[in-house]
Amino acid sequence: MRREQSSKKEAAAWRVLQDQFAGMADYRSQTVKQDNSELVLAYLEPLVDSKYIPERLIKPYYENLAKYAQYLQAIGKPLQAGDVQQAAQAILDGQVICALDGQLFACELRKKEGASVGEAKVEKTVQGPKDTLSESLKTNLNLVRMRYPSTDLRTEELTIGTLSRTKVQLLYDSTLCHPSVLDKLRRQLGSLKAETVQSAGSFERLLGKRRFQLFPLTLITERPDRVILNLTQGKAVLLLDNSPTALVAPAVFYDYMSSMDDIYTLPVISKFLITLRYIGLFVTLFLPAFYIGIASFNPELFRVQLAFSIAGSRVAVPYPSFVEVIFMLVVMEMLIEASIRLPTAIGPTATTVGGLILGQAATQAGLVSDIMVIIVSAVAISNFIIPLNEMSAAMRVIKYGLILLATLYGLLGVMVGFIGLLYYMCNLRSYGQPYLKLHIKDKPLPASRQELLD
Amino acid sequence: MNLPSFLKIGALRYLFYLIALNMMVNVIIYVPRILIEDRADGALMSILLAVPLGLLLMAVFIRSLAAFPRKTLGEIMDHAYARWITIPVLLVLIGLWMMAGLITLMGFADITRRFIDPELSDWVVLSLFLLLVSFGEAMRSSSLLYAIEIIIVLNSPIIFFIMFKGVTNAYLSWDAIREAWTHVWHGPNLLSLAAATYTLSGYVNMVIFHRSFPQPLLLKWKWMIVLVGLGNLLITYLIPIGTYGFDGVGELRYPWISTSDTLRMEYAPVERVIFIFLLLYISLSFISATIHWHVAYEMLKHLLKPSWQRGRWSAVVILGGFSLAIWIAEILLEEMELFDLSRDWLVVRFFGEMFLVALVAVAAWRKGRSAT
Repeated sequence: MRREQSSKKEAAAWRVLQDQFAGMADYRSQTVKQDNSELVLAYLEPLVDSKYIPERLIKPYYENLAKYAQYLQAIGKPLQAGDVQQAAQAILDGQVICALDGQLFACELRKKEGASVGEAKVEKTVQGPKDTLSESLKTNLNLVRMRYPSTDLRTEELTIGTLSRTKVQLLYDSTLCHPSVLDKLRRQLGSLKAETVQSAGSFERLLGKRRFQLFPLTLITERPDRVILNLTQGKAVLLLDNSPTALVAPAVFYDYMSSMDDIYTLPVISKFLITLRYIGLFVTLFLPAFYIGIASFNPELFRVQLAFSIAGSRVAVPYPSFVEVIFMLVVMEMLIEASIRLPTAIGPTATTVGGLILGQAATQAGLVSDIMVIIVSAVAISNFIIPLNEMSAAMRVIKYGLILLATLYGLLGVMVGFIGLLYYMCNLRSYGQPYLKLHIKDKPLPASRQELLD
Repeated sequence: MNLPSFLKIGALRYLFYLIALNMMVNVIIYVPRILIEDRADGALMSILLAVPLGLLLMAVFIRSLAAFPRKTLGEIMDHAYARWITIPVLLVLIGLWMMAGLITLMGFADITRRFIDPELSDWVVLSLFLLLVSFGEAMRSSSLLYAIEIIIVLNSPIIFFIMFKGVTNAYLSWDAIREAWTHVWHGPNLLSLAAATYTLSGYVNMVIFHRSFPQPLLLKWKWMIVLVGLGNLLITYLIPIGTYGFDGVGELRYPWISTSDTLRMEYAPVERVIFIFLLLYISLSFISATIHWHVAYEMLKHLLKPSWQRGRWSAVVILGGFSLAIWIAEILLEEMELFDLSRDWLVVRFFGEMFLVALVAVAAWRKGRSAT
């Protein structure tokens, strides 16, 4: 009688548990039966070493049913029957819940993924965690789940690519993420037509679909902590199998200008660093264009001494400033491209050849002015201050548009280019979120609570 | 950032940006020159009258708009008036807004040739302007508001700096300002009043931008609008007089640009303030022209058949029409005629503004009456 009651209670509790985990594609619940006894196992697959489940949990069940409860007590921890919260928490912590005829046990079968997880290479931080996403989807899910043990974290599994059949997991916090974002993402994923999808980057291109798109509208990251941060901001995350990067949507301009260090250092310091980044952004975008505008159109803008010293350093240069700028910038871009491909052993050669020989010799030969060398190096350095590679790549390209405007119209052209860029960015929407606007609040608001209607 | 509740401003700040934009951009649209021409004929009294009048119109307009949440003027008119009233009234208003953008752009093209680069031809400059403004005016209203916010936040420190430099200029003659002040009791005149109210009339752009605001707006901080509006007008008017003298200032085409050219920054790499001033005004006049044409464009689109409103061709035709108008004006008008046009436009605009406010107020009153 008592046993029947407790099994009823257990059944109710079980239903609650199933509901809580309903939206998670990586939740497993497995029932094994024998005579009139029943064993239910519940766990989150990425967190648990599932290959041990048959050997350690199922095999003993068939070998000795009478002593199985004692066995479970020995390897795990008994739980209060009907305490759903405790059970849910245990599952999220990576334990297996074994329900044996009304009794609940939590058994530790946690998978340790430490070995295959590398250190962040692209998005480095000084003090933050060093883990990066790995190439395996299960490991990545494990990394995310370990850092975000919440029942609100939902996962959906999808397959894309007619040939590659790449597995994709869509992750989001069901209480924070706006349904319209998810709907749009699902629709886009459903309508994807591609043979192979091998990286988050190509995935982003497929999602974008637009032929002319200057800025990335989804964020690619390799850092699990950034994934978690974005989940808490109500964004959706896509994890791809065989790709060490995750895709975050929606993403606005500020997301690309933030480094994870911003939340690991003191507020004053992080404000300073963010300001520095924006100055760097302006330098890398506008400095070459301003140089052309000032040197060739309005030298009277600067005070006389400075104007003379610029003109003096350009005395030996036999062509207009824009030729000089484009020549040096193209050489610099080649240097950057080359040093990405070079093996680390010959890497320093490129810097020596580029920095010393090209820079020094080009000025001595009278091909470019001294000031131009300074400008090019300032542009190159400040371009890498932008924390995320996609945005710094976008800015690298846009710079040439501004140079073109400066060549044709001088300073006026630069200003027009600036305003045009501002217009373009303000008019972009990433999954309903305005791409560029000033936020009075610290956190960007979800699409439904924006201050202005579209 | 957790702001104290009395500082919470929310979406209302976008209205303030629209108002502030007109205050800043008046330099391009010849307001200082008109005021200075009337310096012995009641400019000062007009300024003093314009501020309360502008505020009154603004308060009535915003209050009346609140009766029609998220509605544009076209939708309000459809609701409140017969179609034979709506269409001609809207067409006149579209013309007014169209002219506002046109005068700003042509004025700035003139300034470009005069102060930035005399070698650029007007056609080349105007085509660049038109490209940018046409792109901007076809954007979403909310996007434009985001853009204004960024431009104003970036520019206002520089504006305050220039004003500060102007007021603390060692060569500023306070005697000349005192001389101007002696004319204060001269009665106001229409042209100056119209020019001065322009600086407070940024709110009229709400005829279109109102649709972006999720909640009806409540005009707060009226005293601040009075203070800033009056301070802005007085500085606009008095600093050039103090810099060039009560008589000498009459010779200037663009009093404020010439005034900024008297200012030096001794220790900065850019010594002459005029360049900062000009670069600043490029962005301000562009966004102002974009906004005015956006309003004209959207109102015109409202008059089209619904099936045409979404079409790409109607957008191209409207944008092309605006551009064509500026080409024709460029062929027909000399610089002096542009100034005369701007003068006439300011007066017509003044009456138009009062008419528009009355229109919306009556619509709101009718709606309130039919509700009860």
